[in-house]
Amino acid sequence: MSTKKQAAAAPVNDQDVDMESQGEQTNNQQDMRDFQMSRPQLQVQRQEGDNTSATYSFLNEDHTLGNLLRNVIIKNKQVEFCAYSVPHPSEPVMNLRLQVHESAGDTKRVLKHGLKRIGKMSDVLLEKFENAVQKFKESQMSD
Amino acid sequence: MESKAKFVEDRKKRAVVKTHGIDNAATFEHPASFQATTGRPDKTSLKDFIDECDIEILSLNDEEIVFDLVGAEPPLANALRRILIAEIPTMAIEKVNMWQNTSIIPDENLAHRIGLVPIKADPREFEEHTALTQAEVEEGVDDTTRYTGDDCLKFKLHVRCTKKDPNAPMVINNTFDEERLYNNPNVYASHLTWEPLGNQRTKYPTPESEPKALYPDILIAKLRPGQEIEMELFCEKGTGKTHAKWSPVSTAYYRLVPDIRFKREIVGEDAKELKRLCPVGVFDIEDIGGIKKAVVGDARKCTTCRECIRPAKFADVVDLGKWKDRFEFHVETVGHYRPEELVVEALKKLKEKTVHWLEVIQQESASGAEEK
Repeated sequence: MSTKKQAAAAPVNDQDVDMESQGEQTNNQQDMRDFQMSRPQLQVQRQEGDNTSATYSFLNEDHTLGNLLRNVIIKNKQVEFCAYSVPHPSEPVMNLRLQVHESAGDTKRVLKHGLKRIGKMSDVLLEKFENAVQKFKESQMSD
Repeated sequence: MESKAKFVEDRKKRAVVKTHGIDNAATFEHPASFQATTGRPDKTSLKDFIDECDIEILSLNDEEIVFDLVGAEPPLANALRRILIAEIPTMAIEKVNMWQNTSIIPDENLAHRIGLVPIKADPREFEEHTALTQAEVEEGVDDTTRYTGDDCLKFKLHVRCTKKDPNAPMVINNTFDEERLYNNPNVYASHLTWEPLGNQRTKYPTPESEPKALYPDILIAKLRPGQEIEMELFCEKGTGKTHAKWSPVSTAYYRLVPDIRFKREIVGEDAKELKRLCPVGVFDIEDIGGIKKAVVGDARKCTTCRECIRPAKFADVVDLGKWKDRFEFHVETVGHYRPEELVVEALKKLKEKTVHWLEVIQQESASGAEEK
C-alpha cells in the first residue's frame, strides 16, 4: 500500500516546485475572468442517449437561483429527483441535478418549465407589490 | 382521520416555539409530503401561488420599507434577500490615481476608505466597465485611460491643509480648535469634485442632478498644516457580489411573523405576572366584569426570548408560534435607490435571471450543443 502512495505522490511534488515560482505573479481577478471566458455559460452532463436525467452547470449562479429553482422543480410530480450544489464558494458555478420520469419527456422541458414558473412568480409579486405600495401611499396621504 | 389531518395542517402552517427550540421549523416543499395523512396532495401549483401570495406594506419612509410577504416559501424569500444584498448594481469608486498623500493615512487605507463612500448617481444610466484582457495587462495598459462617459464617473479630491495665520505656532494634540486655527483640517466626502467625462455635462446639467457623494459629512481623513491629498477617483458600476461597497442596502432581512395564543385563560395575579415577564410588552390585561384577563396586545413585538414559557405554570398555557409562510421583510436603503424601488429592482432582477437562462437553453438546443 505504502509504495503505491509514494508513486502517486511523486508527480504532485514536481508541480509544487513550479507553483512556488509562478504563484506570486498570478492575478486572482484575471484568473477568475479567464475561468469564466473559457467556460460555456451552461454545461450539460448526461448519459449518452438518456434524456431523462442530466446535471446542469450554471456559470455565475449560486444559492440565490439554485435553491429557488430546486424548490419549484420539486413540485412537479413527474420529477423523480432534483437537487443543487455549489461545489466551492470561490468558484462561480452552481450544479443542478435533475432526474425525471419518462412521461415528462426530457429534463430540458422540466428545467424550462421551472425557470418560467420563477419568472411568472416574480411578475405576480411585482404587480402585487406595486399595487400595495400605491395603496399604502394613498392611505398615508389621506391621513 | 379528520382531526389528524387538521393537526398536520396546523403544524405545517405554524411553527411552535418551545424552551428548547422549535420542533417543526421545516417547510414541506413536495406536494405529496403529507398525502398519506391528509389524503390529498398539497396545493402547490403556480395558480395556487398566484392566488395565495400577497404583499402588505407595514411602513415606508425615505430610509426603510417594512412589508409582509405572505404565501411564499423560504427559498423565494431568501432569493429576494440575497438579490437585494448582492445583485442590484450601484456606482462606487473602484480605481484611484493617487498623486499626493502626505496625510497620516497610508495610501492603501485611504484608497479603500474612499471606495466605501456612497456615490449619488443612477446606476441604470451606466454600463459595466469591461475589464482588461490578458494581452492588455501584459502590455501594461492603464485601465483608467479606457473609461468613457458611459461606464464611469470621475471625481477629483484635492485638499491641502494650511494655517490660517502663517505666523501662529504649531498646536499639538488639539482637535478642539482645529477649525479655528487651520484651513481644511478635515477632509469630508463633500470635498469630492465631479469631473464630467464625455457628454456627462449635458446629461447632468444642474447642480441638483450632478453626481456627488450621497452624504457630504463623511470624514475621509484628518490633515494638519502642510499635509495634502490629491487623487483622481474613478467610479465603476458593480454589484455587492464583488464587494460590499456596491451593495445598495444597509440591511435587508426577514423574519417569520409571530402568532401567540393561550390554550387556557390566564386571569388574576397570573395575568399580571405574565405581563411583567415579557420584556418587550407583548401582553396586555383586559378587565372584563371585574376579572383581569391576559390578552395578546401586539404579537409582532415578540423577539422570541421565550421568557414567557420558562415558568412551568405558563409553559403549557402560552402557545408561542410563528407563521411559516409570512415573512416580515425589512429593507433599509443606503440611499442610491428609494426603499420601495429596491424591492422592485430585486423582483425585476429575478425575472431577468430566468429570462437569461431560458435564452441560453434555447441557444444551446438551437446549436445542437446540448442534445448532441
